Amino acid sequence: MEKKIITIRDNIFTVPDNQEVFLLEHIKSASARPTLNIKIGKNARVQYVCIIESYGDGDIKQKRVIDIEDGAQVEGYQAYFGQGNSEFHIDNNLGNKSVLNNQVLFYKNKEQHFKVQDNYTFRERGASGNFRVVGLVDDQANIQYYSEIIIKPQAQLTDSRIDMQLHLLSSQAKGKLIPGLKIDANEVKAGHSASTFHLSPEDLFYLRSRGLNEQQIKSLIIDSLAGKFTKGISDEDVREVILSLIKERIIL
Amino acid sequence: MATPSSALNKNKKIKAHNSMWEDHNAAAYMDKTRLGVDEDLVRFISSEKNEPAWMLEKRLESLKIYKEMTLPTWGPNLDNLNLDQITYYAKATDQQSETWDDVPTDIKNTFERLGIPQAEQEVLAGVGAQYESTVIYHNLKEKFRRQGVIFTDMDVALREHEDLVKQYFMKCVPPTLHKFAALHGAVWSGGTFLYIPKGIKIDLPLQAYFRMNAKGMGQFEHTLIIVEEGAQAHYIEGCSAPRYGIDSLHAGGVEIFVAEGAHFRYSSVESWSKDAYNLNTKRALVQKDAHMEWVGGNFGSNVTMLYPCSVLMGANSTSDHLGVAFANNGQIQDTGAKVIHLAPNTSSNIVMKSISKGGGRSIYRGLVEISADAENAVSNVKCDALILDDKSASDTIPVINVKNNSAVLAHEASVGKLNEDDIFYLRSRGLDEAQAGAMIVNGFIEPIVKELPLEYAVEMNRMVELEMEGSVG
Repeated sequence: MEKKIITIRDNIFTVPDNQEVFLLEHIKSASARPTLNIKIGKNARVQYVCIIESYGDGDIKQKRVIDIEDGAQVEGYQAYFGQGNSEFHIDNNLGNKSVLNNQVLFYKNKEQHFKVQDNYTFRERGASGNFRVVGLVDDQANIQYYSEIIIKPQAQLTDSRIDMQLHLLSSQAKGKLIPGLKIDANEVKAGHSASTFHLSPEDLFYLRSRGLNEQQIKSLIIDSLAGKFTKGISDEDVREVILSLIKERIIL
Repeated sequence: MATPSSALNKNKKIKAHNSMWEDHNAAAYMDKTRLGVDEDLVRFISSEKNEPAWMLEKRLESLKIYKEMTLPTWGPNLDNLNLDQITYYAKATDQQSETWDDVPTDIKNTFERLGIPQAEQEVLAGVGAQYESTVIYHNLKEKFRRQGVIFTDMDVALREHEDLVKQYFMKCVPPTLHKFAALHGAVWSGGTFLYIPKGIKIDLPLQAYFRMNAKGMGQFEHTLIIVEEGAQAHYIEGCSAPRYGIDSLHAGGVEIFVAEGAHFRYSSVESWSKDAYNLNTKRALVQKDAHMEWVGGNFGSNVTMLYPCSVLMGANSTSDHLGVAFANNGQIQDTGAKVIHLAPNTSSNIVMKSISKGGGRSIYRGLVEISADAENAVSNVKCDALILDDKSASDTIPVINVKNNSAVLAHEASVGKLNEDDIFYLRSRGLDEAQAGAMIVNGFIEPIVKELPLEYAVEMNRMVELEMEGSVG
């Protein structure tokens, strides 16, 4: 299959059947398209990277619908770095024997409010998906992240999992996670996990004894998470854009 | 040693158990009561019980809140519940029995099928059995009486220990909590009062058994438990109700106060009628260094909404929540747990297992909240679901609310079906498919069942066998 790098510009975008495509959506202002529907054709292979860099001065509310046809394989990456208040709703619909592996990394600070609803709906048999959400919340930011796997009655033999991890980087940061499962079929594998993470006093003691200050320790953690997030992105330039954004926004 | 097949060959007992749901006793007294709730009824209940004025005021205040509140959004859809078609108060007998011989025969027959007298005599420290809205039988072993333990029904407690009741009543489950807590505050009737004085440790479990009997009958028993500093106890209650065509409503309230350094375990096996709405509210306030354990099994009811809640108020307080729910044809088991961490170094552990079969839907709905002051809080949540056929469903809705960055919190859930290789192996050992399925399901819920006293564990295993009939193949 031929690989194409495409930057999304329209509100409806279709990847034809059997294509191998790298899709990039780079949001830099609040006036970006409020809705986008991506249709991924049968047996297509897609990497879809969405970088939310900035909303300009305003708040943002966005909706995405991603329809994945039978046999398609999709790797999704969403990096939320926009400043200001934001609300996102993403519906992912999986067809017969399709595969979706999705990763989310977000960083929120100051007094930002951030709300996301991710739905992964398995409509047909044999689909599989792994969904990972890693969040870093600093200062007085407040986040709410709802992520739900929905398995319809006809979607037997599906395999799915959500893992959510929240890192509260300040004592005033707040987070609410809801990793939901709604399962109407019996011959399925489905699981989820959610956890919060912080360094234990022993870890901190060790790192300090190696000469690192608090900011350096924080940077080390973020660096490691960012490396994990970008590892699978096939386009080096896009990977660099994300890593430099992380450096600029978080690792001061 | 019992073979697997002999261990499961309890058809006779299963039939006897099934009759709990099919049979009911004639309830002639129902013509004395009426449907719906209003101020007149609340005043009638209070005057029937000769309650002090403050309790009537509390009831009327709760009724006002009930009328103002909308149905709770936390939980399943309750649109089919017609609150105007419920009998909110009925009185089955006028006198309290002191010994088992005094209990009326029809009531005794029901309890004997549930195994209460034997359990009471051989294993348990005391029995408080509620028939409809009036407690008819109560007993407490003499040695506990001497230690200052109070184990009685709420009506007696209100007469004989008014100050204690007034100090704690509806302070843990306030009527403002949600609409059914307010309804409960207005029409509560009967229930258990348990007071364990400072430093007293009770080794044997204390038991009460509740039963709804009359058609369309609501039951609003109130359980008030006060465990003083350094005390330890285990209380068990179970519920069953006969099957009827009109929806019954159970909106009980359980309030538990666990003082500094105290340990308390509350266990319940609930198998209300499969027409009933079981909208129970159970809550514990847990003080410094204290520990609260909830162990529960939910089998019956049309719709169950039950989320035992621990409010960890004191530093180093801890809670464990263990639960099993079985949703069969037409049932919605919306169960889970809530833990609110308010103090430093608190920890909680939630383990929930659910089984869905024959079109039933089991839902785990949980809340773990870590407040800003709860430094170094730790919480672990694990919930597993089994879906036994393609008509059934399972949902998991864990809400995790973190406001302190020192919290360590982990949630893990999985959903699966019966393993066909396991079924095949057990069939090759001579079990039929239902027996094999029941054995696997009993293994699945074993981590929770093993925490129950023996007779309750046996009853829960029998319930699984009963529910599993015709489930596989």
